[in-house]
Amino acid sequence: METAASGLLMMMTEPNDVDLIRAIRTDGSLEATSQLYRRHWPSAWRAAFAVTGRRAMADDLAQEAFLDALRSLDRFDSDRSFPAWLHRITVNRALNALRDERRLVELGEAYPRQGEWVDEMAFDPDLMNALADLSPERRAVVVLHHWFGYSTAEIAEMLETPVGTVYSRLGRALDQLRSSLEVLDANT
Amino acid sequence: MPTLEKRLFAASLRLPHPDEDAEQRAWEAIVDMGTWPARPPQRTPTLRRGPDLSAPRRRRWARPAAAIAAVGLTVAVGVTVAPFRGGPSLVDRATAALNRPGLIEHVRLVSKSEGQDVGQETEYWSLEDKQSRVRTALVTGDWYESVGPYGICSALSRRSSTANSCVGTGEAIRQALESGEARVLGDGVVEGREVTRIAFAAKNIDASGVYEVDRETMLPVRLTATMGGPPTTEEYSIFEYLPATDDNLALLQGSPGAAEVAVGHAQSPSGP
Repeated sequence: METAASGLLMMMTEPNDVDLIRAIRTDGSLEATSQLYRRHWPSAWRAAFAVTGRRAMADDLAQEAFLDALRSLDRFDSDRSFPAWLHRITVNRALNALRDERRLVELGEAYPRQGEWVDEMAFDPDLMNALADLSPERRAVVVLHHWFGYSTAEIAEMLETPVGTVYSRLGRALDQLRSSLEVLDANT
Repeated sequence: MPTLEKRLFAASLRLPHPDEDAEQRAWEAIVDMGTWPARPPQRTPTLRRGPDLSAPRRRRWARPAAAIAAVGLTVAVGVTVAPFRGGPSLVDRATAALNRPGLIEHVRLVSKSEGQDVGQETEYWSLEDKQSRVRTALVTGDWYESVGPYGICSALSRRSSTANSCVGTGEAIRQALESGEARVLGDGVVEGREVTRIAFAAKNIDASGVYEVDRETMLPVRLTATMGGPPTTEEYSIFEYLPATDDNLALLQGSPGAAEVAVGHAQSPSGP
């Protein structure tokens, strides 16, 4: 048994994810859905926010991702991590949304280059600006690895991309970040 | 200037929270999708409710949000600017201090998710994976207990599938420290206690974070970890090991007169 994701200690006060998913699959349990939701939805939101940098977009993406997860719960492998699976759905949705947006931009519609995170995480604005300048694909790899702690192999599986591509994206993204920050440092 | 990796780690501790409105809207969309009646998410654990004894512990554990934010900022800044220094001997001492087989682990802690107090204090007594008693006090004054022949699962075992993952917080930290890399960040003060900060990257559970130990006892004071999700923090106001005397073994049993109010589910000591 484990406690809510809000606490580090997993105690015997709440069922674990596997128990909850089993209850949802077999009984359509709202209580189990509620527990699974409050345990993992905030993390899905943060993943969406980390990739897109926009609150409103993260709201929609995290909501749709959780609905997707519930709709396809029968396909979920209980031997795997539910939060990782939810992150996978969320991040892929976020990347698709940004790609769609990029196509709209090419048609002449404007969108902000920087996400709101530049304001919300203003303690290191140079880093946030540099992150905002990354392509969504590179940014996703950076935040999944450095903010959410996923290994390159896990990221490759999440993004359905070869591990070598993840390594390459990560390396180039970090090089780009370092270059951006060096330029900023030199100018200050 | 701190390295890029340190700046990224510090940034991970500052990710913002979703709005409550957005969370509620998403929940309503989920309820609309199903055939069940609408009900807001419940936040109260239910296994055993404490009886109205003459002197039950009914303290309020909420702490000022500003203080929590200040502590979080201190950690973030500390991680950002503190240079790596010190040697492996201190990490070894911290690791060895948690290797206490046969003793009862007694811990009182508050958990913070993404820098916010989750509104409850937890105290537990645990003898490895054999027997444990967990007592949770909510800000409402209610308290709950869970007692059974199983151990305590630290969140550091959340992503582990090993069978021995419910052997207590100290043992989970020890295994995490031993499995990967750990370096001393420097010294600091947490809630008036002098600590040594240790950055770790645990390979056994693919987690990383900052572990702060009491400089005198080398036992846990605070743990901040990221494991494929938002960073979470535990602060330990008590962390001690008790000998397995008859009196101390009695602490592993439930409070006399506690009324069972709900029995949830089959127990699974090994976790997910």
